[in-house]
Amino acid sequence: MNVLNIARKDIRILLKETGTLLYLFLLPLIFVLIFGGIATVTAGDSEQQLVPLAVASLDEDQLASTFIENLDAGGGVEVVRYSQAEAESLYEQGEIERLLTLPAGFSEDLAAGVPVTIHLLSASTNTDENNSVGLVIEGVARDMSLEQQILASLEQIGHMQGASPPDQQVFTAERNVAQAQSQFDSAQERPLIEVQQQLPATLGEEATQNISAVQLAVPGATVLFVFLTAQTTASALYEEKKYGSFRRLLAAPISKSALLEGKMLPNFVIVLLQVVFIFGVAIAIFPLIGMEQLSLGEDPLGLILLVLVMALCSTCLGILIAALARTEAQIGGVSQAVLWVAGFIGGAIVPFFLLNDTMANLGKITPQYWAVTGFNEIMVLGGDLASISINLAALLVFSVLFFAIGIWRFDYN
Amino acid sequence: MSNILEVENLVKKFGDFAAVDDVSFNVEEGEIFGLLGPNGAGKSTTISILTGVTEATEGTARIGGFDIRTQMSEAKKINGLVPQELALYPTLSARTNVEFFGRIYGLSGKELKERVEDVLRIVALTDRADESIEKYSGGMKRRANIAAGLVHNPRMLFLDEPTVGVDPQSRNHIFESVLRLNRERGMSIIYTSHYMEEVELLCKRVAIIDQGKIIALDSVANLIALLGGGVLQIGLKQADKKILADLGGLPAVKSAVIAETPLAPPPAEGDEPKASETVPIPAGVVVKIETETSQQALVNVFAYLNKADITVTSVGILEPNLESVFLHLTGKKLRE
Repeated sequence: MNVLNIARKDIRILLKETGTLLYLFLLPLIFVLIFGGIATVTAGDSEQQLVPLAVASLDEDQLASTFIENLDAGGGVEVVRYSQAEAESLYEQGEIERLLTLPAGFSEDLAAGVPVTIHLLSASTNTDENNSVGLVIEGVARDMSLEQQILASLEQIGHMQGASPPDQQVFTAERNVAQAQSQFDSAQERPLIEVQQQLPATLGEEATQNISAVQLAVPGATVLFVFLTAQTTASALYEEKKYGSFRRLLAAPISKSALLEGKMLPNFVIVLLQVVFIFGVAIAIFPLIGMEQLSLGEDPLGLILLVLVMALCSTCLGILIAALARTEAQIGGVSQAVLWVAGFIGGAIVPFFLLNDTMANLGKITPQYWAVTGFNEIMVLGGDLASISINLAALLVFSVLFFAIGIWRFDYN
Repeated sequence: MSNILEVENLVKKFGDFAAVDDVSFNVEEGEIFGLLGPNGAGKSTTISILTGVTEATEGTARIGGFDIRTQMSEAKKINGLVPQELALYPTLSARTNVEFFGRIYGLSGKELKERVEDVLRIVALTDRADESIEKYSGGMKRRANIAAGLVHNPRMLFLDEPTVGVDPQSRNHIFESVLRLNRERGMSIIYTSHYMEEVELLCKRVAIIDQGKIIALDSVANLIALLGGGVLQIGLKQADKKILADLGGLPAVKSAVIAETPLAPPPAEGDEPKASETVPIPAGVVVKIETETSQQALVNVFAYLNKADITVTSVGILEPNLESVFLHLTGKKLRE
């Protein structure tokens, strides 16, 4: 009962501290809004973004049409047909960024084996997109070139065979060409080299292969500020000792363990409220302001357990800081600095896969790393409780370590 | 009258430093007992041990029959502590603070509500009980501090320097509250202070503590009687044993001794006094004269010194009070 009395009193005090409330609840949201504005990074093919490519063809014959169809079907670009005049006008106005023009006589020249030049205009400075489009066009062009050259060769062989006596003429030019064409068509459906891709077993049906900034920023900011809450707890303990009320509590019929539990409980509750608030806003409000809605993944039980263990870890860290820090400066400035650095190398601020290997490995010594990767596993990669078992275990180990050292070193005087 | 508190050979060491050094005393049920001593004497440390804030290195105590070594949790239920610091939550109101501590002591519901109103009335804070503590004056904060220590109606109340930094009006109110609690509710109180007038006013018996040790323990009257009618401190250019003996034999004088002074350097070679000469005590001495009545003794002493043509360099009078007792016993002042 005294544990609840102390916890209730501390929460009551916290509710009067507007600055602290803003720091714990509003600042993480601002963080998310800033980092959530970063462009989406996509991975996977189910909803891959296609680069628009305007195509104007001055040739309406078969090979030109085939070329354009192959471009559209090849992936990577989305072909939009225009007349030349329309396309040029739109390009000049900046309405289209890229324009591919097939010249008149494209089909005839290609069939005759005459080199043909197609023109690609690009007003975009996005080098990656420009390279991608270029590769797609070149790929289709190469395939079609090879096809035409092989067909021409077979036709020539057929004509050469035409000079032989009739009883020795087995393959005519027409038959050769028809046979080769059949082979080319068959190759499209059943290529000689087939690529099989093996994806991670955890990838569910609705696997979020779309690693959006919101999916990364929300858990990251939450983890960062959840562990910063530990510093607030330590500060509250220090203030209590400084103002003498701690001494009064020690003189009261309440055990030391109950006293500490009462100080820890608010931290635990605040962390849970932080998670609910930040995630709740990301789910309910973000779509209304044009941002992507946060997805909670496929395993609510795993997510809840992760949140609970993370809250426990933050709480135990608060006791550790209170035990080790001897001055207000140490609790305030020094521990904050340490927690921010730990948050950074733990991947809470910048996704760890954007850090170099050394930094990414260093992050493993922080509880933030295990919390962030746990959230990523569940919310980005569609993992479940089993796949975050190591994260839960790591956070529990940190909790026990923090608590044990904190209790051992805590000075009640 | 039975004892509510029995302290036996209490010791508290911090490393080699003994903050409390073999302290023993008893407090009777219903008594206001004073612990008087300068800052750093060991008063607060003694209180901390008796209230369970810290543990003794050696020794023990019994509060209400409960041994603090083995039954501290029971002893805490009947203890109340008003610490020297303002041990309250400044952003919460006095009422909320007192309610909180009441709950910690196991009060709830109607009983808690009644107790809270009762103690707020005792300390005269009812009208402003719902304002946050940080808005209070120093005196009001002290009164709220007392209220929080009283809410559970303790049998044994420890008041640790409760009037530090308090205005005279609040101070008087605190005194009245303490006396009323003792008189009307039979509360036993240990009152620590370095203000002798408070202790003289409130306490039946006083223990004078210095450097962790109790150097005197008795009723206020008996302690003051140590000084008799007071102590004269007469500075003389020279004084010998005959002078001291003459002074000690004067009417209204109890004794005359040399107050502790540094020894003078030995005389130079060739200046050693001859055997027939009076051996002078080093010059500039202060003679401490304990009197039966200071005024009468002063008259007699001056008459003698005039007649003997002895020059007086300084005169001091220690009136019979606890401060003088402390100075007399330790050579130091209660408040530097």
